[in-house]
Amino acid sequence: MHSLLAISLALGLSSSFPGTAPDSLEASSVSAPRAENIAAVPVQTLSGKELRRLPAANVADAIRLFSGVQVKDYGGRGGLKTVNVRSLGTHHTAVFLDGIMIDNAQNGTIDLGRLSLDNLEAISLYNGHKNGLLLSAKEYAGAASVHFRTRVPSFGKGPCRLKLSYTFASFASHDASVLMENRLGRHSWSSLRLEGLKSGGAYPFSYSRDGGRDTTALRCNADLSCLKVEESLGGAAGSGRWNAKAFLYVSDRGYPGAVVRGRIMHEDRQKDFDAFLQGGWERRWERSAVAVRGKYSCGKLRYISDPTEEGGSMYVDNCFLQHEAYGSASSAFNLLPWLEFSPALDLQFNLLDSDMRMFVFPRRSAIYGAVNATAHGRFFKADLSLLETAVFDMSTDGSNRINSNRSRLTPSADLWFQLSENLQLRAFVKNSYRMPTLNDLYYTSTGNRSLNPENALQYDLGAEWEHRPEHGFLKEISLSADAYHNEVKDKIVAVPTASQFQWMMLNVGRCRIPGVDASMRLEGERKHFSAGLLLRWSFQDARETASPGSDNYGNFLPYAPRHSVSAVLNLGLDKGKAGDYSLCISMLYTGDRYDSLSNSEENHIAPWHSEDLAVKGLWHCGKKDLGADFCLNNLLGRQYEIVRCYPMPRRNFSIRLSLWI
Amino acid sequence: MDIKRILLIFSLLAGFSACSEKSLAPEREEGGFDEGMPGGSGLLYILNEGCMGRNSARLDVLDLGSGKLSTNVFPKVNPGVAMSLGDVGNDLKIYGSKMYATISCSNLVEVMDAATARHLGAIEIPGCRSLCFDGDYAYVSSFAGKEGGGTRAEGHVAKIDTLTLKVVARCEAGYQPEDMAVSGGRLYVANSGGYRAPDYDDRVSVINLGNFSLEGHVRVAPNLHHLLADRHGQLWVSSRGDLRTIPSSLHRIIPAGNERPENAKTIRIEGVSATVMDLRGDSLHVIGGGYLPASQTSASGGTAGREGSTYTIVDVRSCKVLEGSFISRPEEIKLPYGIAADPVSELIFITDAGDYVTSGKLLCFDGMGNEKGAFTLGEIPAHMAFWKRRP
Repeated sequence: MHSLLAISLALGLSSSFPGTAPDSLEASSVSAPRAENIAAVPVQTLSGKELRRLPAANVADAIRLFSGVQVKDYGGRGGLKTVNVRSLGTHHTAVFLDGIMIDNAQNGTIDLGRLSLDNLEAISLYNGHKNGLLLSAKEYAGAASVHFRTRVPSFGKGPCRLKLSYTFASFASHDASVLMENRLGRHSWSSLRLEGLKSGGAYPFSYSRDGGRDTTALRCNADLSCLKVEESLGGAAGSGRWNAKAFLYVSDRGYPGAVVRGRIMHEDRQKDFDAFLQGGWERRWERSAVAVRGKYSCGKLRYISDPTEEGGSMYVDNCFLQHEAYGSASSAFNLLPWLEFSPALDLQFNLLDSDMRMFVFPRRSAIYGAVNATAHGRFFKADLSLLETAVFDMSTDGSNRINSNRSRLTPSADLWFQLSENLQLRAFVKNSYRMPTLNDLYYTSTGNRSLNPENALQYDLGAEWEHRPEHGFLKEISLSADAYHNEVKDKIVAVPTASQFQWMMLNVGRCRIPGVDASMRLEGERKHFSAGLLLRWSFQDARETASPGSDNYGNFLPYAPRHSVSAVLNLGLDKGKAGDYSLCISMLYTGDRYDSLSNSEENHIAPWHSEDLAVKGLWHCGKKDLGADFCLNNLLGRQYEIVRCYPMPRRNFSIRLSLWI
Repeated sequence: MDIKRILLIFSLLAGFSACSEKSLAPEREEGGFDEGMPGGSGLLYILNEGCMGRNSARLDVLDLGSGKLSTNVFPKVNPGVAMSLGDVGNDLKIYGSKMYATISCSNLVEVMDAATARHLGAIEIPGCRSLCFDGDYAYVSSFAGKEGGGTRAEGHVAKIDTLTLKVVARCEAGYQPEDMAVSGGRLYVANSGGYRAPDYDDRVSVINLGNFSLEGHVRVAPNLHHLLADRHGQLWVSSRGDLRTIPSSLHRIIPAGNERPENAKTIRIEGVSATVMDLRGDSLHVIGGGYLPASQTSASGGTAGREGSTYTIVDVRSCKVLEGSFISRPEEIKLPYGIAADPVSELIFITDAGDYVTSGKLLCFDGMGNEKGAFTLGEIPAHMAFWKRRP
């Protein structure tokens, strides 16, 4: 082993398997980081203390601070929150929890408002896919990937810890949770988390348009009650590691709907039942590694709109039931000291039932096969990946059985160079797709069974400069910038046929999005005091390019601002036993944008900015820890809309008390 | 690079980007008439429905004397009306000196001064759809039940005093009533039953205007929509079909008069499909072909059914379908969505809803079917009304 390492070091190469010889590798990783940990694609991470200090109530609040990200937020606790990276469209962002995708075969929409930050260790956003060995095939699929990592308990001395917390927030919100962490053995652990949330949700808003009169009203039917149960297990055995999770989510919410003249109250309601079981195991040997993952999930959604009071709209009461089974096997081989090869194979099955009339009951089977080759040296790393996706759908239309199959081969390549001790360059090209969802294909009357996958092509070129001064207050300074160019073809768009009563999903959209993401990070520390500043700026020029000569050709895409900026300042004071205090202020700015491809004055949405503040304290009293958090959101109390006609809450607060026993 | 400089650059960047850009897109051409102005005087109001949930119903007005288009006039004239015109405009008609617009998702009928579009009042009617007038009263069809209870019940027609702008009576109709017409002292209501798909309503309700009560129904075809009365006491009703196997169609009804309403004679006009229509004299201008069954629409083109739009004139006296198209280049219109025949000239105005989510167009055709002008309007321009049109 040592001789192998010596040879590789002599060649200026580094081995990539941490399982091989941890001690010697750690020594070598000081000058040459492990290839596995090098990201040749832009990656932004919020983790540990930085994540805990944020004034964020849920995952969406944290992700929206990443550059290049637009979070669509319909406001309120129960409002849908989705993420769109570099204007590629929500469906192009893949979301993973501990390496396993959170999927929704029915409509492809993942509501990020549902995941609480409390049990997460890190949130990372990769443009392109995550870099690393032993990825599942689906991990190569997204045009952008969001990865959540479950918190691994840190036990101190005792075998068990219990955390009780209670949050009271504006709009009559109460949230109580219990977290119980157990050490199961020397190398394994479990954590059980129960959370119950009840929020009245009604918040006041004001509404005004240029030249129009102001209105002040209450946003009603925005209540949310939910129950979450999450059991996580993890452990290590020899050179293997495993984790498992069981998750249950039950909720009942109101959708406050659009605020329009004569109608600021809506009656739409949704009841959800979601449950999943997932797990993974991986083992690393000297020159190879394997990983297997699996998941079963089922979800039941009931949507009710009963306009008894208001009369005009359609009565809806539909129920949808989904099942998903997923399995993945991946492996990695160290073919040469500088070359790794990793194949992966995933299988997935989805089923969708509904009580809708004329429903077609689609079933989807999918195979994902990926191969990745990584070559790396001391100062460079290159990746080449190929993903083949084949999707087989079956449905019944009354008496006829319908088969509809589609497949796509998508390559991607990335390259990383270390130019000097401080400066790194990166570049990637990635082709990806989004499969038409079951709704796109089979939804009663609008579905189109002949849809092709939507195609995205991304080019990115970036640089990162990092400096860690040895003396003085400043401990780290890093600057990062990426220029990119995205093209989306065969975009799936709902188009009316010659009558408004019959819409159809068609592959007719096309857009081009050049842009720049830049960020700066400063970290300082002196004695008990620490400070951090993070600034991010995104520029994009997202334009529609479907049909030259048409009225909307070259217009801005809906909800794609030219500029967006985020800033996070956090200050910490760690006095050990006397307490750990933090102050964090985050700011978000989104520039001018339109809510329609018609870039007319009426469709213009004013820029908005919002500032949030969090003051958090943690005190140690013997074996117990006591925490108190105070958050003030939308500090300046400004009224703004992210989505037109969906006013966001003005100034609001939350107070949280937690006790570790 | 020292830190101060980096900070400076970043603050400059942030400051630069924080500046609001007032005009991201170039000013749009609003269009105009070609050499042949319509002439005469008067206004043409156009109600753009607006996409649902965006509060974007919009009123545009074209001065037929000067050829000048003014867009989005309602909030300009009525800054005091909160939230502008509202969400989804469904019908626009002028009666007397007042202009009425049903704003269906705002659950109200907006009443304006016809000359200026000044707000006079708003009448709350949940699920209001179409307008019709007779004597001192306006009639508004509504998807909502007569006694409340939402849209699972049959809809109703509200009778409004045009002087007080108050609802004075309500009468039940069929499921999801749409267009109405008055003929021989009776109000006829086309019912779609659209919320009950595939069990569409196929009836025209007959309401006696004397006592404002329902006399009965005439069964015609599924999913009825537009309804017009001609000067010979006949009714013309369009059916959207069932969007699966039954295509859109046009029907003539000869009412039963004082006999039982079911005894009315209904005749399907063969070979004519109808999505929108307007009547001038004895010429019923019908635009059809809006629908193709799902099995026939192709995935590739994105133009499914569009080439199929037909522009047909039906002579209401002889019931004959005139040969040929009443516009010369139908392929120029992507999604014909509204039609208005100028009462004093041979001009025909047609609105094109385009892709239904971005700006639509108003097109003007002369008697030969040649395009005389084109204007860019709002989302889903649909309903038109003439004011003081004089030659």
